[in-house]
Amino acid sequence: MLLVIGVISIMTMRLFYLQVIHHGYYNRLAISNRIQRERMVAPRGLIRASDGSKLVVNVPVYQISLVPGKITGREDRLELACEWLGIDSENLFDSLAEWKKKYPDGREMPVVQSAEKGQISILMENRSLFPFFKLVMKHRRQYPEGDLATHVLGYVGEVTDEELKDDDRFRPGDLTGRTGIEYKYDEYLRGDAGVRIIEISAEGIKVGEYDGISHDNDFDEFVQSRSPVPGCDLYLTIDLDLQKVMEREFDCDRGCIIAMDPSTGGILGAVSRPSYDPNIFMGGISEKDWNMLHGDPAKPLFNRTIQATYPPASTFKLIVCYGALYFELVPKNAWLEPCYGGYQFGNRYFRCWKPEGHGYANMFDAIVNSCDVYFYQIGERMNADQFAYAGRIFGLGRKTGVDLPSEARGTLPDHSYFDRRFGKRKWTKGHLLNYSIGQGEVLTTPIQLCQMVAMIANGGKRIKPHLVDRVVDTEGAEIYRSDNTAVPISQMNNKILKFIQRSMVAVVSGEHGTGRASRIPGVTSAGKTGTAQNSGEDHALFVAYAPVEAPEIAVAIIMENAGHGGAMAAPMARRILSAYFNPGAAWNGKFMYGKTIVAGADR
Amino acid sequence: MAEKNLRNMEWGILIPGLILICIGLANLYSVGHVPEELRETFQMGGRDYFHRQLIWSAAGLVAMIVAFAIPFRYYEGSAVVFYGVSLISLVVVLLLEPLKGSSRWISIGFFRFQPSELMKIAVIFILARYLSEKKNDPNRFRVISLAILVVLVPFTLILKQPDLGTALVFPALLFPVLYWRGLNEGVMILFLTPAISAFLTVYSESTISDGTYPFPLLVFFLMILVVAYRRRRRLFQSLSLVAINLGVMFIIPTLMDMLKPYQQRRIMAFLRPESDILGMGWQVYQSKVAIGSGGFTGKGFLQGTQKLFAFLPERHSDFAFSVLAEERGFVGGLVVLILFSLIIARGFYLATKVKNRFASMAIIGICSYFTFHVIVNIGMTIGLAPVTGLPLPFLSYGGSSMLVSCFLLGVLLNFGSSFYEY
Repeated sequence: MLLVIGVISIMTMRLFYLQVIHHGYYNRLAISNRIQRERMVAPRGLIRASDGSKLVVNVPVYQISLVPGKITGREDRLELACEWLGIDSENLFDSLAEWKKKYPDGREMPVVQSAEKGQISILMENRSLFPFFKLVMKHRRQYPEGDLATHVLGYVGEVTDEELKDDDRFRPGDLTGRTGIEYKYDEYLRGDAGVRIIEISAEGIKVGEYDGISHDNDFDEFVQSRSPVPGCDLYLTIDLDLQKVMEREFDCDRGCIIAMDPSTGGILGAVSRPSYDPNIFMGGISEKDWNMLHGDPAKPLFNRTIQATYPPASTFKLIVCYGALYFELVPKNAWLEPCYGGYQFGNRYFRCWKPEGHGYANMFDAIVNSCDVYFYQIGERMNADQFAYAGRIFGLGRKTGVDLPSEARGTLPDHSYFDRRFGKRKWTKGHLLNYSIGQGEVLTTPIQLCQMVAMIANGGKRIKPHLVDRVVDTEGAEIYRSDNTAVPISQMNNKILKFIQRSMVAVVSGEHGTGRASRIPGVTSAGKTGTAQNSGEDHALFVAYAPVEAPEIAVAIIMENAGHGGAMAAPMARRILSAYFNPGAAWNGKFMYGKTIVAGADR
Repeated sequence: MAEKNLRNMEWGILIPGLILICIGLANLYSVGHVPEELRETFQMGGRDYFHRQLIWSAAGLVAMIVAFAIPFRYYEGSAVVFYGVSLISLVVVLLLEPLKGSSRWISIGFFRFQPSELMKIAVIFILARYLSEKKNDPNRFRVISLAILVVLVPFTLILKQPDLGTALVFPALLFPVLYWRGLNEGVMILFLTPAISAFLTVYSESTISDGTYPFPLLVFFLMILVVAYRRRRRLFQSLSLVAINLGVMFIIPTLMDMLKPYQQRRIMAFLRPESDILGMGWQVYQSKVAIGSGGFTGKGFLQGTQKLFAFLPERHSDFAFSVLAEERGFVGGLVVLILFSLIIARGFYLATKVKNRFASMAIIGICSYFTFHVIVNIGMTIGLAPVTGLPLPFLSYGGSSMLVSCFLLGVLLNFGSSFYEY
C-alpha cells in the first residue's frame, strides 16, 4: 500500500514537473512542432531596355526536390512515384546516393528543375503518399528577347555554400547574379525575402497560416509574417532597336561592337561574339556544359567589349596626332618625308600598309589615308611619355569604370613602362615607331576605343560609360540614376580636337578616305579605320561617330581575324549607323554603295 | 447466499469508475474531433473511436452488472475451468495467422478479442483460489513453485506472441497476492531484487556507453548490502541475496553481448526511449511535449494541438492520457490519478474488510491489476516507464481492455457488498 502511494505521488510530482515547472519549454516545443516559417522568395527585379521593354523577366516554375530524410522505408513508393512522374528511378537512386555523400546534412536534392503541369498535379494529389517529394515554387530568369545582349545582362546562378556562409540573407536555392548587370546590380535586383508562418501537421500537410504567435512574448524567435519585397527594376541605356540591328548585322565569328551616346556615356548597344545561351545556367549548369563553355578556345563567356584587349592599330593615330600637335612636334600642314611604301629607321625597314606608298602627306592626309610612314616619323620625334599623355587624356590605359564586372585595363606604355618591360635603355626608338601606329605594347579594350571616339565627338568632355540608366523600385520611385554629365577637360586643346574631327570626317567622306565604305546618305559621319596585326589574320577595326554636327552615337567595331578595317569593319559601321538613323527602313545590303567601293577601300 | 444488499454498495469504487469511463469517452471524442475548417486537410474517416468506444462502454457496464450479480462463490468454483479455457485460447491464438506481426487476437465474427486479457482475470481468480486454501502456505516450496508455474505458463505464451508488456502483468499480479498471503519478506526480496538488478544493469550499461556513472545501480547495491546486514541473523538468506544480485550484475552484460546488435538495440530502446529518438523515443518525446505544453489548466477541451496535428502517436490507445493531460492540464491529469487512487485505496481497504479469504486475495489481485496498468501506462507517457503496449483502464480505446476493467470493477463491487460473508 505504501509502495502504491509512493509511486502515485512520484507520478504526480513528475506530472507537476512536466506541466507546471517546464510548461514553457514544452509549450515552445509543441508550437515549433507544428509551426514552420515558410520563406517567400522575392521575385528578382526586371531588366529593361531604355524604352522600357523587358530584357530579363521572371517566370514561376515548380521545382520538385527530394527530401532524403523522408525516404527511408518508402523506397518502393519512391519507385512508384518515379514511374508516375516519368523519372528514371535507377538514375535517381544513384544520384541520391551521391548527393547524400556530398551533403550529409540531409538537404533536399532538386530532381526536376521545372516541373510540367502533369507532374505537379500528380504530386499535389498524392502529397501524403509521396511525402518525400517537395514542390517548391521558384522564380526563373527568362529572356524575352532571346540571347540579346547576353554578355551585358549576365546570368544568375544558385548561391554556393560559401556565399551562404558569408551572407545570412541567402538561403539554399536563392539566385544571385554571376556576371554582367545581374552581378553588378545584384543588391538592387535581389529584393527582400518574406516570411509566412504556417501550421503543418505531422505528415507535413500545410494546415493554414498562423498569426497567433507574433502576439506571444514567449516566441520571440518567430517573427511576424512579412510579404516579400520584389527587387528593383533596372532601366538600361541599351537602345533595343539598335541592339537588335547590331546583333543581326554582326556576322563575324569573333569580335565585338559597342555603341555609346557621346554626350552621356550611356551604352546604346554592345555585342560580343561568340555568345552563349543564358538559359543553360538556369538551375545549375551541368558540368558538361560548363566545361564546354570554359574549354572553348573562342571563349564564349568572355565579354570582349570590356574584357578583351586589342592593339588599337591605326585608330591610335588620332591619339598620336593629338600628342604631336599638342607638343608641337610637327607643324600641322607641313609635309614630312614622302611615303614610298616604307621607312628606313636605323638598320630596320618599317613598312607602310600600302606597298606603293602615299607620297607626300601632311597630318591631315596621313590620317585620311592612314599613312604609316608619316606616323613613323612622328614616332621618331615623340617620346614615350608624350604618347602616354595623349592617350591618357582620352581615357586609354585605365578602366573606363563601366558598371560591369571584370573590366580590363589595357596597356598604355610610358617611359617607365618600357623600362620595366625591357629594362633601362634596353628599348629603342623602334618600339616607339610601332607605338605610333598603335601596334606593339599598346593595348586597348573596345569600350576604351569607343569612349575615345565619344570624347573626340563631344568636344573633349570626360564621360562615364554606363549601362544602367536608372533603378526604379516597385512603387515606381527612382532610387538610383546614373551620372550622365559630360565634364569638360581643362587641358584639352579644342583646336587640335576640331582638326582631328575634320580629318575623321574626311576618312569617311574623302576621296581617298580609308573609311569610305561607312558612308551613309543624309548623315555626315566621322570615323577611323584600323587593321591590327597579330599572330593570326589581321583584326579589322573601325571607330566612328555621327552625325558630326551633333553627335548622337559613337561606335567601336572589332572583328577578329577578319582582315582590313576599311574593307570589313567600315561596311559594318555603315549598316549599323544607317539602320540607327533610318529606323524602320530595312537594309537589304545594297541600297547605297555597291560592293566595289568596299573592295577598293583598304584601311 | 444472501440477496445483494445495495446498501453495502461500494460507492467509493463505483463512482470513480463511472467518472473515469465518462472522462475516457470525452477524451476519445476529442481525439477524433477535427475542427470544421480543417476537415478537408485531416480526413479521419474510419477512425471513429468515440462511437465504437461508446458501444464498448455500454458493454462494459453490462459486464460490470453481470460481475456484480454473479454470486461471488461462483468465481471460486469456476476459477480452474476458467483458467483452463483461457489457457487453451492462448494456445489457439499462437496457432492462428499473425496479425500485424503478432498473434494477439482471436476473431469471432465481428468480435475480436485478446485472450491475454481474459487470462488476467483467470490468473487473479486461480491464484486467489489456490492460495486461499489454508494448507497452501506460500512459504512452502511446493506451494510457491506451483503458484509461479500458474503464472509462468501464460507469461511464456504471451511472451511468444510477442507482447512483453502484457506478459509482465502476470508477475505483477503474483507477488502482491503472495505477499498478502504471508510470503516471507526475505523470500520476496530474494525474488524481486534480482529483477531490479538486471534492469538496472542493462540500464547502466547503456549509460556507461554515454559516459555517465552507473549511479542508480551502485545505490541499489548499497541498499541490498544494508538489507543483508540488517537480516544477518538469517545468514544463508542474506548471503544468497548478495550473491544472487552480484551474479546477475555480472551475468547480464555477458548475456547482452551474446545477443545480436539489433536485439541489443531493441532492449535499449525499451528501457531508454530517449536513446532511440526516431523510434520508440519519438512517441515518448511527443507525449512529453503534449503533456508539458498542457500546463496547469490545459489547452482546453478539443484544443490539443499535439493530438490534432497527429504528432502524438497512438493517441487513442496507449497515449490517451497524453491527450487528456494536454487538453486538461495538470489538473486533469491529477484528477485521473486521484480517481484511480481512490479505487485502488478503497480496494486495499476492502481486502482487509472482507471476511472471505478468496475474495480478499482476489481483491488484492484486482488492485494490483489496476495499479500496474496505471503506473506503467501513465509512467510511459511521462517518460518514467518503458514503452509497452499496456492500455490505461477506462481511458484507452479498446474493447477487451474496457470489458475486463469493467468486469473486474464489478467483481470488486460484488465482493464489497458481501463483505460480511465467510
